[in-house]
Amino acid sequence: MKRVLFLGASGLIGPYLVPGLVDHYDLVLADVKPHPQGLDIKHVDVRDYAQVLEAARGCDAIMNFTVVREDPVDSFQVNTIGAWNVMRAAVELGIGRIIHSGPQAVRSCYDTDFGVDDAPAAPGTGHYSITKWLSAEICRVFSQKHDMQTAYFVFNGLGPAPEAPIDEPTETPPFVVVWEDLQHACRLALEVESLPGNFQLFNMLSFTRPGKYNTDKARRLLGFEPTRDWDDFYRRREPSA
Amino acid sequence: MRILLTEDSSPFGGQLLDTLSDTHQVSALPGETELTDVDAMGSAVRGVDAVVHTGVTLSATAAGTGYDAERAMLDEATRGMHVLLDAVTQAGIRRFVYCSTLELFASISDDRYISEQWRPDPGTDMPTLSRHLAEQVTREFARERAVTITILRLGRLRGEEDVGAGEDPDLMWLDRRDAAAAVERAVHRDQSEQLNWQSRWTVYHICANPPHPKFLLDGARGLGFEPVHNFAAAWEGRGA
Repeated sequence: MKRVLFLGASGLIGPYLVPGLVDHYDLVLADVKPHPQGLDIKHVDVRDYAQVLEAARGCDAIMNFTVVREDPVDSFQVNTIGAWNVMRAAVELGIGRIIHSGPQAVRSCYDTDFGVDDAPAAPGTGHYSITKWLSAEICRVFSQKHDMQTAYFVFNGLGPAPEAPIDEPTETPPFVVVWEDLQHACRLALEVESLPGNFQLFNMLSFTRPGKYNTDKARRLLGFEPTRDWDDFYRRREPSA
Repeated sequence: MRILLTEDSSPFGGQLLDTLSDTHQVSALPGETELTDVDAMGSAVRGVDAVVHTGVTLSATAAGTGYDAERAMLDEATRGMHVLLDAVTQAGIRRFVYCSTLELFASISDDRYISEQWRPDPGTDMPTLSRHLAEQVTREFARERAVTITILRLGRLRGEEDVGAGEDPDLMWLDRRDAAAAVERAVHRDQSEQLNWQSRWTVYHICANPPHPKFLLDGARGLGFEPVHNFAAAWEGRGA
């Protein structure tokens, strides 16, 4: 069973991914705060290289889901320098597989376009998006120069899957991934043999029917499919007589 | 024009101060200033017409070598550039020049002609990677704000007279005086009123012009740059 260091395991995403990974991987959960459900957490501050290096020792892969959004200092320290620490530790320890998170905001300039998938990033100057974009560049350069495989997932909203068809008139979410699908994508990325150029950035969304953003590349390179046709839950209903 | 340099203590910074002072009013940030200091940057750019970032990272030098120095260099190139450009654009300054490096293409074999259309290929060594990341930050500011940003990817700085007899010439060499001349050209660029951001962010490759150069200078000639010091003695008798 592969041993995987999961950085940011107590954050807004981590606790929802663990249930889909724990049966498949030997997870080392790490964060700077306790896990909301009380799981064992190794204290690792991604800004601290020695802590990242120590936590990653003996691991086969690293998942970095740490994030600080708009803070003008810590966004750089956590998102950019943190990513560098992770990639540097992976090189030092010979870890060849990384999953990294980022925001859809790196592509938000395409919000008025359609069919957006493998498009160049345009993060703008916001602290959250530019620091995460810099992390993507760091991951790409390290992956290419040190023969590591890195899947960089970008998403906007994350949440539970709808449990039943939506009853009220409701817009189909244009860039939201449900937990099950992101768990599935992480498993695929941890197992895929290789990625073109050793690094690929993937849109992660479950509701593709609006056609604004799509997951064609994730389908093509990872074999990703939403675990169900979630768009079915957003069908318009005929008014009752 | 009132020009602020990010430093004048490196050999290149000193050369810039000398060259630009012939026709401009030039000052430099005090040596102890950190680019990541929001208040210091806000004060430093007040009343200035153009800012030139020499590409020299003094915080990294102060940190010595190893991890701490690399981290300081990364922080200055990313957060420091963000703080500096935020100050520049908030002050309404229309011209910003960043001295990046042709080392971004060092990995590409010498049997290629490289122009600005080629994708940079930085390594993970921090002096090169940090310049690449700094360029990314500048591009986003040009995309969103009314500022002209000129990226000069400079070759390996030398003095033509300092080349030793029998020394192998380098396709990336650039005389410091020519580098300073390129900066002098670049500070005059002002595309701030262009609605298309791509006019506001332009990259030029700057180096000497040896026989069969690796780095094509057609773009730089559009800026008015023509190298004077081409290390002809070192190239004599050699096919490049």
